[in-house]
Amino acid sequence: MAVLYAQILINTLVLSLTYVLIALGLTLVLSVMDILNFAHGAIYMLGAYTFYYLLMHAGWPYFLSAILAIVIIGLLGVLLEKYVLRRIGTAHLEALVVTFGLAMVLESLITVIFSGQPLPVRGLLSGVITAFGVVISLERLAIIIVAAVLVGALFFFVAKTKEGRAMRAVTQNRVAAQLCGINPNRISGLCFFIACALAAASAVLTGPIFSISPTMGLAPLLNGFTAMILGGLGSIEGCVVGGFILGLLISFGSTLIDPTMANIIAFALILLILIFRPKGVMGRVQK
Amino acid sequence: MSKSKLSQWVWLFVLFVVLLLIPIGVSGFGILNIINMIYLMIIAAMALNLIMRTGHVNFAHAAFLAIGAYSSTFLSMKVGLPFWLCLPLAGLTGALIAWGLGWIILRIKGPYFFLVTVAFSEVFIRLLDWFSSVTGGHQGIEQIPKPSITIPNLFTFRFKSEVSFYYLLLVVMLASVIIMYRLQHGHWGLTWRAVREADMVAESAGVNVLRYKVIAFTTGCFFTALSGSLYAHYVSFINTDTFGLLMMFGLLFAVVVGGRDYFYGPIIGIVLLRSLSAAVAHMAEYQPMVYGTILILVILFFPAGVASLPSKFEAMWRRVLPIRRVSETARG
Repeated sequence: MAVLYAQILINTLVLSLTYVLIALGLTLVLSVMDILNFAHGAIYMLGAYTFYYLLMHAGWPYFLSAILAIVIIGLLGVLLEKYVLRRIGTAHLEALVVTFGLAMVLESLITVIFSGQPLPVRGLLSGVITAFGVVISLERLAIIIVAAVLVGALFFFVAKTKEGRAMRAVTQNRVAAQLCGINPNRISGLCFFIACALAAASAVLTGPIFSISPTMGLAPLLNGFTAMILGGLGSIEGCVVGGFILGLLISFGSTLIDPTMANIIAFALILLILIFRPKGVMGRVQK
Repeated sequence: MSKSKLSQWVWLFVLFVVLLLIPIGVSGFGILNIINMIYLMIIAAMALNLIMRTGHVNFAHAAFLAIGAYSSTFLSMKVGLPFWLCLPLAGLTGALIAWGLGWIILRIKGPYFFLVTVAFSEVFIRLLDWFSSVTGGHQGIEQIPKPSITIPNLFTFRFKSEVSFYYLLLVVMLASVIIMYRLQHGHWGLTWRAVREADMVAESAGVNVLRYKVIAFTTGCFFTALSGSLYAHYVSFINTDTFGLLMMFGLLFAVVVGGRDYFYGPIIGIVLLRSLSAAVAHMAEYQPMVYGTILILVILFFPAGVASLPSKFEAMWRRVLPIRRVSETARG
């Protein structure tokens, strides 16, 4: 029994870290630009397909295609921010409609190019490690390590670097930040780059485990929102905590109760959290 | 003054006659079906806009369509009530749930409210899936009875054809629009605007803000549930996928594209978007691409919606012909 739980826990770690990567992107965009980005799932999907194309069609080496896919999607994010989202400003509803429209366009574009069929992505690592009766595939181990490093790097970036400090300043007060000589538009672009790159990274990491399809973005999007709310809107630490709570809930719930019920419980939980503790588990009081 | 009012009535009468004659004019190509769906969705979109008057974007709107559809189906198929009772009862069910929910969730504002309602609708739709032995889940419920009028020993008229349903939907739609018009231009409507624009000020002026928000939410959800009930009996088939994110975004798009600050905005939005999706229907997988692109362009270039075009053109016209402006200022 202990082995079963340990096994579930390992899978939870993989699941949680992918949620965290998505939720971090959503949180960055929400806190810096005040936009609920509904195109994030589609960008994740686009990352997976870019990687697939570079790796399987163009036949480029694994690491090069992975890094290229992440950079390309990040740059696409910069363009989106500059030419679409900046024009709308911070109007919630318009931003919502435009990002969802964007998701529709991207999804249909990929369907037209690659057909709607799910496609497999070649993995780099195969084989397993067995420790204390728990079986871990190398692939999953790699996901855990890389995702953890990415999350750590983001923490370092936001907390310690000059750009990160500027980002936090813009989050707190856009006008005051501007008065201090920070260009908020540049910070928005940077933040969108990071958000999209994280989504693409998550897609590249999980691609070999799940197959890829044009509609693959919806579930991560909803899960990302859930993780973000569970942890507290606008809090980066909260995303990590929220991602892990959601991961535990989904994986233990799916194994012990039922996958559908686990999702229902997750959404019921965020309903309750938003009503009774809107700042989430780790959220700061924001007024 | 009275003359302009008279001409207004004449125009409304002409419009009404045109609406009455539509089924005679169009036939074939499923156009009447599209118009019927437009009428159905107009009720739901107007109701969504009514709730948005208080500054809350209700993202559980499709869930309330589902509440109306499923309660009406349950009442007519399991309890055996006639449609004419199911319709108001479905509306009341929606209103009751909205009233109970409203007191809790309407305290929450902005993006948080949006997320609460997303969560509510996800929980609700997934629960419907979970209890698929009752609701049919993805397989859905088929052969929902069509409404009928029976005069004992004389005759029975069943609303089977699209034409007969057209008139039924027209009547319900016009009645709903008129009621919503009266509500939004009356005391409640004024208070809703005050609540949206400055809830603190309204509160200090003695307005019970939460109460008026609940009223708007309940009224809106009543009409939405009505629309859901009509949908169930018109299409005769419902399943849980009908009321998902796509339906919700369809309504929200219509309100935003049409112009949410205008009373007739949602009507324009629904007519435009439904016609657009009917026009691109044959494009198969290109359909969402065209639809999404047009949507983005409309929002980027007319952020206040299509209903704002006349005033925009007027402003442009005045810029082109500054003479008129000068003469106007000279006059008064």
